[in-house]
This record gives sequence, structure tokens and C-alpha cells, in this order.
Amino acid sequence: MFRIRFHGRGGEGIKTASRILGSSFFFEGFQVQDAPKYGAERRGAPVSAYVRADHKQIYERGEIHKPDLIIIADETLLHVTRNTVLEGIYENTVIFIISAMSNSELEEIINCGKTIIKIAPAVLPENYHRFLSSITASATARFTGIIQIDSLIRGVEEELKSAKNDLILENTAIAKKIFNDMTSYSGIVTETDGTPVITEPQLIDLPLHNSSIATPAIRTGSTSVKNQTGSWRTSRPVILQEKCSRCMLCNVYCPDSAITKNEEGFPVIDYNHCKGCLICREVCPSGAITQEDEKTSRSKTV
Amino acid sequence: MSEGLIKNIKDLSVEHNLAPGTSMCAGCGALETVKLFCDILGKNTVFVNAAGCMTLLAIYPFTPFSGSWLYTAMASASAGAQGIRDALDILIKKGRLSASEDLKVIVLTGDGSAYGMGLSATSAAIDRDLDFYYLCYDNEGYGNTGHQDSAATPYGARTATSASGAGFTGRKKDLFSIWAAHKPAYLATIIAAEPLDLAHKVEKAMTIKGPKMFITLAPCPTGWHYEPHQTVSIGKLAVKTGIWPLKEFKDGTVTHTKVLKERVPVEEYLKLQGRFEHLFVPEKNPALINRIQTTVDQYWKDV
Repeated sequence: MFRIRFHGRGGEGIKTASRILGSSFFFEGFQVQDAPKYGAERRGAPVSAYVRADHKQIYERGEIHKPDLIIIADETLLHVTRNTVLEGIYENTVIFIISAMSNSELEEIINCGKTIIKIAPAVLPENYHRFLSSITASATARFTGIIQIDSLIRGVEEELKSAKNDLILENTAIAKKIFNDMTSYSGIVTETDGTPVITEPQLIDLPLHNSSIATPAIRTGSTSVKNQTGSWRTSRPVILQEKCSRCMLCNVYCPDSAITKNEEGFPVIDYNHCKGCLICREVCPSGAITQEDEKTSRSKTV
Repeated sequence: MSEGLIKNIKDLSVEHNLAPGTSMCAGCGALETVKLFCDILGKNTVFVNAAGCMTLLAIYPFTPFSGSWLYTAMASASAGAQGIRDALDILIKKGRLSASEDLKVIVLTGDGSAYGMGLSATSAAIDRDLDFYYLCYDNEGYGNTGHQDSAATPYGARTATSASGAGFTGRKKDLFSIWAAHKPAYLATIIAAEPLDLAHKVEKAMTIKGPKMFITLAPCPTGWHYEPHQTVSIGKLAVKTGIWPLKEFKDGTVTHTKVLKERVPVEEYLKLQGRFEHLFVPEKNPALINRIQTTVDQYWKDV
């Protein structure tokens, strides 16, 4: 069985990638499961998706805890949810990442001695974010060494069939290119035994607890500040104090309570929580808020 | 027009009672309203939240609220509010809670619950003159599950369940009129893009005992398919085109709080949103756009 886990951010197309891959396996005659992990995921929040493919019926269910391949579509995840992204690595696990970092930097961060296959954004089209589903699905299909190009393209077309024709063509073109570029990695991901290991459940008697201590309760307010939603940003607003008239409209309209006021009366953006919606830039009457690419800004401040 | 403390935008609090770090989408129009609501109502609140996007505000152990929060099924938030109100009243009567520690009870639901499943329990709560607030964030679809159409979806909008052809072929239910027919103590439409109008209405409601009902249009970047930074611009256009009339109901009378001499054509509002893209691409569909314009014109003719 192939056990493949995708990681990305909401909106990047990870769910679609898993579906393209799942369909491609299916067209090759495999039994397939593909599923995104649902919950509180939102645009920009870390998300994951799973694909299982086997020649016989699949009895495993749920999340993949021991992946043969991990796809990391967004390298920033290595900083915020590294443990989740790299969970369950074992001797055969291969890691595939889209990253501008150098190989040695990646090895240092990932630090687990596994094969890391990287595509640098520089070799992809400038708007590659629009095609992340096809790029990651196509590379993955090649890594299996089993999925043929026809099945892959059918998978792309099947999953994008409600999209505009131009977009489908662009996607199939890039899928073909990546499939060719990755030729040397064909078969690098290997199947492992899919026979289910079923162990008897261990039953433990639990005494009844008083409901006031057995149920979760939050005893204090405003605990959501511990959630650092600033990691969702792809662009950040930056306030130019010399232009700011201190009208505080940005503060009024920020949905996330992520703009405060300093002692001089200027608005200050709380980058730990700002999700980068840029409503503040849009409502600022004096044009005192600009937009900067998050990666560039982060590297400047580090 | 306001007898309250908030006269202009500078009077709105720059410190917020709703904490950051929620898992709402970037640019969420509903969260903007909830934030303003919390600022005006103060910290002594308990929110009763029917299943929907806003359920994800409080995920154990994280909550953005300074007060309590109760999660209910989609159909029963107003019934939950009755239980809490009764419990608070009993505690106060027995002297176990001082009157100054009393909490405002606020039902928070999306349009899926308010316009549909939850309508019956809400109707009964208004009948009983329950002293509560109801805030419906109306993003015109089942946003939390991928934006399927709801009873609040407007004619022509594409949703996950009306994805082809002309989009949604039904029409938006007039919840304001349905609630007004119950004669609640106070009822208003609001939008976060008009924060002063919103603040005046919430301040007014705070002086009134009984059911205080609010419907806020909640521009939704994820479900309406636009860039998150456009939430306020689209909200303002909803008002300027007359698509989202700002009004209130009190003492048996409906008053429009913002009447425009000239309305912007609805096209300006529609064309910014991917859910209406089929009205413009591959070619403009004047018949459908006119139909939406005519509905709006007819509404304002009767005002």
C-alpha cells in the first residue's frame, strides 16, 4: 500500500492535489482513499490531506501516521507545525518540498536523514501558486513509478472539470512538465505491506468522575491570544507613521482585533495575530498602509 | 440621531473585548460585526452559539470572548438563551448573583440557523418576550461547510449547490419582515462596514428590555469569492446599491436609518464577487442583472 500525506495551507489546493492523485491511482486500477483533514481549517491555516492506494481492499481508516511520502507544499509550515508535518517518519519515508531554501538549510531544518526532493519556486512559473495542486500531484505520481502520464492527466481533468478550459489546459501542461522533470525519481517511493494488523482492544474499567472535573471548562477569557494566527499571512500590512493621521479606522475595521494604539496615538499592527487580510490598507484614507511580501519582510526583520 | 455615547467614529473603542487568534478566515465580515458588538455590549456577556462558522471562535481551550460561551445545535440557540436567562434571573432572585454581575445573553447564529432551522425556537423566544440579543451573521449561505445555498442566498448567486447556469434560482427570504411580524422590542439590520450606524443601534437596544434582534450582512471572502481586503468596500457597496437596506423596527414602525438620494447600480456590487461572475463572463447578462436591479428598485419604491 502507498500511504501519502500532503501538507499545505488552506487555499493552496492540497485537497485538490490529493484528489488528483487519488483519481490517478484509481485509473491505474488501484483501490483508493483520499481525504482532507477537516476541522477548523481556514484560508491560510495549516491543512493536510491523505491518500492511500492499494491493489486490494483497504481496511485502514483515518489519518496516516506512518507515511511513505510527505509532501510539503508550503515551507513555512516547517516553522510553525514542524512536528505535525514530519510526524511518523520511518526508514522508507521520502520528503518532497517546494522551497526556496538551499539543500543544506532544508536538511538542517528537517534533520531526519531522509531523502528530500526539492523543487525551487525559481524553476516554476511565477504564478505557480495557482497550480500547486497539479504540481504536487504530478510529482507525487512520478515518485510512485506506477502512475502513467495518461492517468495523471485524466485525474487533473476530472478534478478540475468545473474550471474554465484555459485553466485546465494550463494545469495539464504544467502537470506534464513536472512529470517529465521528475523522471529520475520514478519509483523512489515504494509500497509497503497493507495487510491490516488487528490487535485485540485492551479494555480498561474507568470509574465515573464528577462531571465538574471530568468535562473540559475554560476558566478564563481571551485565551485565543495563544493562537498565533500571524503565521497565516502571505502579505503583511506596514504602517508608514509619517503619513498616518491617527484616525484609527484601521483599528475599527480590522476583524481580528490585531491593531492596537501606542502611547503617541499611532496604530500598531500585532504581527503575531494579523492574518494579512489587508482590510486596513484598503480603508486607510491617507494611504499610510502598504503591503509587503511576507517572506521578504520576515527575512528583513530576522 | 443617537442618544448614546458614540457620536462619531473616534468614540468607538480602540481596545477590543474580542481577543485575536480566532480561526475565522482572513477578512471575515462576520467577525468584524462580532468585534464591534462585543466592544459596545461590554464584557459581561454570555454568547449562545448555534452550529456555524462562529462555532469555531471557541475551540477548547481557546476562546476570544471575555465571558462565557455556550454551543447549541442549529435549531436551538434561542431555547438555550432562554435557559441561561432563566438561570441568571433565578440566581439573582436568590441573591447568589448580584444585579451588577448580571450577564447579557446573546444568541449568535449564521443565516442557515436564523433563516431556517432555528426560526421556530426564535419565534417562540420572541413570543415569550425573552430579554436577549440575537445577532444573525448573514453570509448568504452555509459558509462553514463550503457555501451551499441557504434561505438567505440571493437570486443569481452561485453556491456549492447552485454552481451552474444562472446560479441560485430561489430568492432571499425576508427574515426582517418575519421577525418584525412578531413585534419584538427591537429589530435592526446592520453591517460592520457602517460601524456608526451599527453602534447607534446596539446602544439603543441596550436601553430596551425584551428581544433585541439584529441581522448583519457578513461579506464572506471564502464563500463569495473575492479578495479578503475587499470586505469593507463590498459591505459599503451593499448599502450604497440599496441591496442591504439599513433599518430598524421599534414600537410597530419600520424606519430606514440610511436613505440614499441616489443609489449606485447593483452591477458595481455584483461585479466584485466571484459568485456573480457568470453575470459578466464570458459575456454580460443584462437580463439577469436587470432582474436583480428591478427587485432592489421595487423595494425602495415602497419605502
